[in-house]
Amino acid sequence: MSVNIPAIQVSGLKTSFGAHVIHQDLDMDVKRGEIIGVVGGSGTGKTVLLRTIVGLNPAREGTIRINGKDPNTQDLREARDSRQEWGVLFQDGALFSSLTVAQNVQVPLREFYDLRQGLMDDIATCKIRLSGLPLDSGVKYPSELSGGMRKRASLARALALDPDILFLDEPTAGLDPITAAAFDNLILELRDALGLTVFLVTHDLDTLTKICDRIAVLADGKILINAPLQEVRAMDHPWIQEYFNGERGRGAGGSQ
Amino acid sequence: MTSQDSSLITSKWLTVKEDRGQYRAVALGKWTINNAAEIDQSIRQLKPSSKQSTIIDFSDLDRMDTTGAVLIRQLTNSFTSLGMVQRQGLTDLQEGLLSKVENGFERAKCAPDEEHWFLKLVIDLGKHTEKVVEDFGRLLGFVGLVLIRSFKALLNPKTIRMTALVKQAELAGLNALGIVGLISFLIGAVMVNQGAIQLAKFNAEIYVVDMLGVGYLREMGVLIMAIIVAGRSGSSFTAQIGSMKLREEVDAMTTMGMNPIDVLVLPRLFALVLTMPLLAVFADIVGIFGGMMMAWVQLGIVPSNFINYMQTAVSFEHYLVGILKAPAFAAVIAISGCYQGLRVHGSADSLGLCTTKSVVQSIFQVIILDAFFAVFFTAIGL
Repeated sequence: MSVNIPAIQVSGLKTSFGAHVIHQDLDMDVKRGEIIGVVGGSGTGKTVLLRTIVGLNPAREGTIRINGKDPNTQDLREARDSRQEWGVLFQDGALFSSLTVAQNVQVPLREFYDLRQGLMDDIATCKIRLSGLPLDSGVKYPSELSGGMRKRASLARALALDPDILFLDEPTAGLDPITAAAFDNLILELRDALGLTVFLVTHDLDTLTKICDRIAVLADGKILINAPLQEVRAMDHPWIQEYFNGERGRGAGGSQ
Repeated sequence: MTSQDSSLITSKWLTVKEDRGQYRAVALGKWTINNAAEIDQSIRQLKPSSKQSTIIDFSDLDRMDTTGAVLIRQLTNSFTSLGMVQRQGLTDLQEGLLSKVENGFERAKCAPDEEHWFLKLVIDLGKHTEKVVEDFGRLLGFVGLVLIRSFKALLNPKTIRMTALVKQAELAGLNALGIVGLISFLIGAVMVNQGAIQLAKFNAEIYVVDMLGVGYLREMGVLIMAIIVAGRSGSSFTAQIGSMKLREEVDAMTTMGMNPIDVLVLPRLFALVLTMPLLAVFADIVGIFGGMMMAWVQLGIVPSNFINYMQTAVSFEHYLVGILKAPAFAAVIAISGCYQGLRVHGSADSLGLCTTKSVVQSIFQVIILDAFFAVFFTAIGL
């Protein structure tokens, strides 16, 4: 894959539910290998943006390119194959409840490849370790795991096919600060080890300040700014000032 | 290449040679998940046997992902028992990934253990028996709880949630009119159609009216209706309450001091107990009408004669017996449906399982109850 093509390219995007317009003329580029954090108030359509990019929501107008490929112009087979290039972590894990964690990780492997069971078990174990779960959790069912562990298990599944791009929907929401910090570190480590591009939607200021290379602020249906933290903090916009330099914003990462 | 060289394997992904008392392995190309099956096969074909050290050269490796790292670990493992293994030519990034994969690695269990089939048979039997007994006890407890709450509600009718009750009566009763009517009509018609053929052998076609009157009003009408309602409303009670349970809505209710039995179970129970007798009346009318039409078409008995004869042949008790059973069936269906709904926990799997159970159990219980009623009503001479 060429390094020059942005990992994700969104241009002129419009999404709406009925008459209710969520995004209008939204442009956004994500560079290869960076961790980008999307923030915005509740109801500004952060999750909708993520869902639209991964193709779960139709875009009314505009184009979306992932690794330079527009899913709308691909035929079914190409679209299916390009699914291997990205993994998605849903807010509540979305693990298949009738399968064990290891079997969950093996689902995409089974779907796309014809591998020996022994090798698949090895790969599943390796992903479970990569995502920081104890080894004995491979045999557990999702309902037996805590919320934090479910997120890790879901991350292991998202990593199953060694994707280039990882989409994370509020990865640290609902986790205690220690687990959340560990999850942040995990994402950083994985990015460095696997060369991932990470697109994450979050409310967590610590995550934003600690691991994000750039921050995209979503407001009024557009990306207000897509820049490193320092520039975003400096921008003169009431919501951004309230968000980063308000009481909680100063606590996280300190007001420099 | 000297004559002592011997090649263990040469493939697109891997070549291994024996050279001057040492294995030399060279990894080639892209070791990624796309090629994993072939690389895996090459590694498994490899059967090194001499006790000697190994050098694995990765300088010709184009790309490696985590699956590649897992494969490299397997390749390394196939040599480690024979002597020193030295790896060269890995980039720092690859080295880092490999150490993540290898560090403290052991294969973990990926699926639950399976017992031998014969042991499994015995274990399953034991587990099931235990569960059936436990389930029965719990169901009895639930019935008791519902009875207590119903008496409390009936003594203080203001506590009954009327909105929910009316809504459920509409869903379970009014909306079922179509399907209950259609099936009742067909069953009535089929009973006459088949009965007439048999009775014709004795030249006694006119007795189809007796047969329909007694058989349909007493047994078939209400039974068929109960089975339809069990499939329609019993399952929806379980699914509604079950999904609320999964989303912790039931727990939220409890913390607000609302009793889930009062809020969820009683409106459904009362709605069904009130509407099922009405549905039974409707089913009886439509079923008899279906039989009457069939008698007219097949046997030429005109409706006025049919009705006249029915009045003399079928006593009011037969009709009453059928209708009296309806509230009891309703209670059984509503209680099993709600009970199974509240038993849902954990996952979507459990919701499906409980819905199946609710329908199977309520139909089973309806038929058992019907058998008891048959014996009971005969004994008291109705």
